[in-house]
Amino acid sequence: MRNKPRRMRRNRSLWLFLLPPSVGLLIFYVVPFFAGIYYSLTDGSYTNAFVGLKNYAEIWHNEMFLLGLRNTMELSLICAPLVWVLAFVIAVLLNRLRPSGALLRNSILLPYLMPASAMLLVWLLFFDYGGTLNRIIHLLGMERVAWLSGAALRFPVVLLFVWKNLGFAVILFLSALQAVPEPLYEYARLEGASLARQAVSITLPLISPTAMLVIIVEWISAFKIFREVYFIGGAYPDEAVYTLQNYMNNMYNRLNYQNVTSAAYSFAMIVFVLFGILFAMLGRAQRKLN
Amino acid sequence: MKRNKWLLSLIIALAALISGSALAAGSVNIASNEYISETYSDYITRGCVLGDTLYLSGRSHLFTYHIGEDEVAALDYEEPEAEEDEFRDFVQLFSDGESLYMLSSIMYSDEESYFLDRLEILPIELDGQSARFGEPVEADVSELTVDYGDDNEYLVQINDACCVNGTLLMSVYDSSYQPAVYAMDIESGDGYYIDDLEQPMGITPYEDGQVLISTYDYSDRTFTFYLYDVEEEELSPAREPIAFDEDKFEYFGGMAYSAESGRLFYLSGGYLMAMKDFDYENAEPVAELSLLYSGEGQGGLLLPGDYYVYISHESTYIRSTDPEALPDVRLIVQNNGMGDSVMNAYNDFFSAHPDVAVVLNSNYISPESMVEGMMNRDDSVDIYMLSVSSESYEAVFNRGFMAELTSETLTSAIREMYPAIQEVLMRDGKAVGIPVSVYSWMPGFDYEGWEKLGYAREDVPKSWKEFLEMLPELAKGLPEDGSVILFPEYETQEAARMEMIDAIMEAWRMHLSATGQEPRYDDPQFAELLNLAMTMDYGALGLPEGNDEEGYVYSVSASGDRIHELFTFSTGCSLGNFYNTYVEPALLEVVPGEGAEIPLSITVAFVNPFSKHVDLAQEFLETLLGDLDDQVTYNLSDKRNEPVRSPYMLEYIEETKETLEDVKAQLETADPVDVPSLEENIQSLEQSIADMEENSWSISPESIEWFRAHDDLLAVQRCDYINAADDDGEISDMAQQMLDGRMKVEDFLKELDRRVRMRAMEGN
Repeated sequence: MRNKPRRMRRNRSLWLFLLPPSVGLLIFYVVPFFAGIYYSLTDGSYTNAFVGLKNYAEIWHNEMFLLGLRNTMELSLICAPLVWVLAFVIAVLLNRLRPSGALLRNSILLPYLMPASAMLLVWLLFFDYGGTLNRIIHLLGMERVAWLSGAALRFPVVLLFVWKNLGFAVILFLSALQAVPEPLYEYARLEGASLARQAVSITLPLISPTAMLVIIVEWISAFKIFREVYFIGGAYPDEAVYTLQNYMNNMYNRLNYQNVTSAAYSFAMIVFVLFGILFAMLGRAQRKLN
Repeated sequence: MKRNKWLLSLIIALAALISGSALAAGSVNIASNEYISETYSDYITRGCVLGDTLYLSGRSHLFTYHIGEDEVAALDYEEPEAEEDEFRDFVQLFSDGESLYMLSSIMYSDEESYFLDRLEILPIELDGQSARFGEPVEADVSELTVDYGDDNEYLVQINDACCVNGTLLMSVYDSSYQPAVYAMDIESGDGYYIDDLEQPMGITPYEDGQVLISTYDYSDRTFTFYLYDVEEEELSPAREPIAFDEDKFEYFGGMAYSAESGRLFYLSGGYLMAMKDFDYENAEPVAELSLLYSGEGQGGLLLPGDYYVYISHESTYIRSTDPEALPDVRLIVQNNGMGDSVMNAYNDFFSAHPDVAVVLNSNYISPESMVEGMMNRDDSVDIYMLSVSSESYEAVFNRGFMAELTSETLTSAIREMYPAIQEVLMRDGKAVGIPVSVYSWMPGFDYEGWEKLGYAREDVPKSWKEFLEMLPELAKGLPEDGSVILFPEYETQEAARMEMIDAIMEAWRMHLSATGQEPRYDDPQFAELLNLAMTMDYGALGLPEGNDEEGYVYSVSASGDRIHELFTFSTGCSLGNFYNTYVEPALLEVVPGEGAEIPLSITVAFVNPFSKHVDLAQEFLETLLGDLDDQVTYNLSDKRNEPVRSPYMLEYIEETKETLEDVKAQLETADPVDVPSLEENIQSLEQSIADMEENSWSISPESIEWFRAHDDLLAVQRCDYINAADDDGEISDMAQQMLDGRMKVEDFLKELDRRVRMRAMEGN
């Protein structure tokens, strides 16, 4: 009882401290979130009539929305696991090189820090029809490829994504690997465990939370592939790289906010379900490993 | 005590009401040039204030005006005599605070050129209903002449002028076409340019023998106000520079400083603004004043009581600067820029509704801002004017962001318009907008030229394919005397290729739109046309590689007749726009047998459905509809069919006839040695009059006949998928690659088709 006034004072102070960020969160996240839902349920006309799920039905029957959605899912299924696997392998190798691998460790983060637009220009030159890659291909006796047009554009897009995001994933894996106690590996070696067995029985279980984090972060990043596609292919790139972001961007430019919000919330639901499944699967896998 | 308080309140209220209405009554639009030219055969050029009188100068009259009057009063004057071959112009009326003066230029013309002979400062002596010019003071013109590249010499352009302490200060464009301020002593005529002034914009008298000058720095985009002491010839800044406001697009036009109230007035976004002590951040609107070309009139005059005066081409505007007198009801019209019709409507509406402030705001508003504003139920703008082919119009039309027009005047007028035009003005059977401009441009043929080559009208090509395939043969059959050529003389090979591609693409797009087809560009017929245009040997058609460095000069053929240009890429096609009397629209089909279209570009005015003054806005549209000029109304329906002569041409014909009479009178008393040249002059004048009378049509009978016979081909240009899909300019880049030969026509069309198809599949 004696502590009640103090607890009340502490609670009040707590709420006062929380108030500014809460207001910010409310104004810049919560309100726009619900406003977006409202937009997606109206027809955007002068009368702004409530149309229920009509907008959603329309976009789910729209070929371009479905094309964008399919391409986004495909690209993310290629890019995220690719980054995950490469980052893990590189992190394991770098972990063995410490401390002499410090320069390499720092360098691998550079692409992540560089401004994307500037790097895109370099990549455009590299993949140009007369660029470095095609010259190498030509030297090897093969036909040049128009990397920057048509379906072939997928290759530079994936490569660019991997190049840019690999470093951050490596750092995450590296920090997790460095936290694994070395004696565990010593005991395993003494017991005659192979490298692969060590990886499966020691490394993966201990770094699984980080591994989960990396796949989630990379998958979310892969969902947002757009800048590279737009910079190279414009608002209407080849159908093989036309993403959901292209669709939403074009709808936004045409001031069709109903379609933008309907597409965005549809995708959000898909991602929500997917990640729910992913978390369930990863959780089960972790328990098995443990 | 209570009763006294009540009485006092009543008296104060009555006083406010009376003073307010009196001040508001001072705001007028007077002395419109239309009124002056009809009543006095004159037009207003400049003005100044002396005492409580506003003086306005015309060619042969001085007009006076006092606050509270409805009209101007005219004073006659006799123009000072000029020598033969001299031409006098009244450049600037000004006052030194005690007397009136006129700055007058005298141009001299010899056989070879035309140049400024002298500049005179003429004192004006007023005598009742007349005025008389006194003895002139000749000004030094050595720094006031400019050559515009035609070997003639002119007086520099004078934008604004004011007189302080016996010095006339003028903002001009100097001989290097740069803005500058010239100071001239009105007693001696000597003058000099003020140094250290970068890009002066406006000028107005200040206090204590000083002049306020505004300048603009293009590099850091700031305005600076300077005070120039006329006696000391010293310049000093009046305040810190002001950054250019992109949204308001303010450039402090029409500046006027009131020593009476310490306020600086200037025009901005349809308002007259006032700032005190150069406190720009707290400037307030004190009156509405919308101008079409606010940089070309003479602003910055003040009558006693701080009545602001602006003299523009259309009218002279007087505004009370009491902020209390600014009407509470304001009608905001966005993106006007639609010429005389809107200004006439503005003036007429002002006269009929002095309690309403109509603000014409021509500052650009992006489509995104406009539609987002409407989606947020923004009522800040009452009337919008948009081109039908713009994305903005498409966006608001599809969403229904246009108030239904319930006015019988408007709806009945719309019902009488051509069906193609009604389509863009009606939504779900309801009228939503009125057209405020209509014009049409398309390729044209000179049928007389075709006849000279032996082609009857029915033999002239009817399709693009036929025309393109015929060109090489036509080139071989051109007469040697050069009386018939294929294209206008100024065309070059590259320019012709580009224009040909453009014309074919425009025709194709229009055809698809008019026939309700889905946009498609990867079409074999279309590709064939473009390939023909791309692979044509334009050199073999007689076109030069590049232009003559001396520029294009109209020429005649060896026989002395005009040269017939068989094909013109673009000629006016709508009524009032048929400016080339020898060329008729070509009406070439892109798909043989499917007909051609006459493309119409239309701008529509509509009411914001969220406006608080929907009925008032409709009244403005009614006024606007009534003030639309012939160039618009004749194209809207087939109701008006009387030919119209150009009033300017008629005036010029009358002047030429007067000159002819003068020359004939001279002939009667001329020396025998002068008779041949006078007779030649008379013959030339008579021929000029005959030519002018033949070509004085603003809307000719022939053009009416042609247009009415083809009005079933009218098609309005709507929002184009190509423009919409070319946000990043990629399509334009590809088109250039195709023109440069770096991309095949088929590849270009395939890529274009892909983009347009994807855009169409995305939906609206």
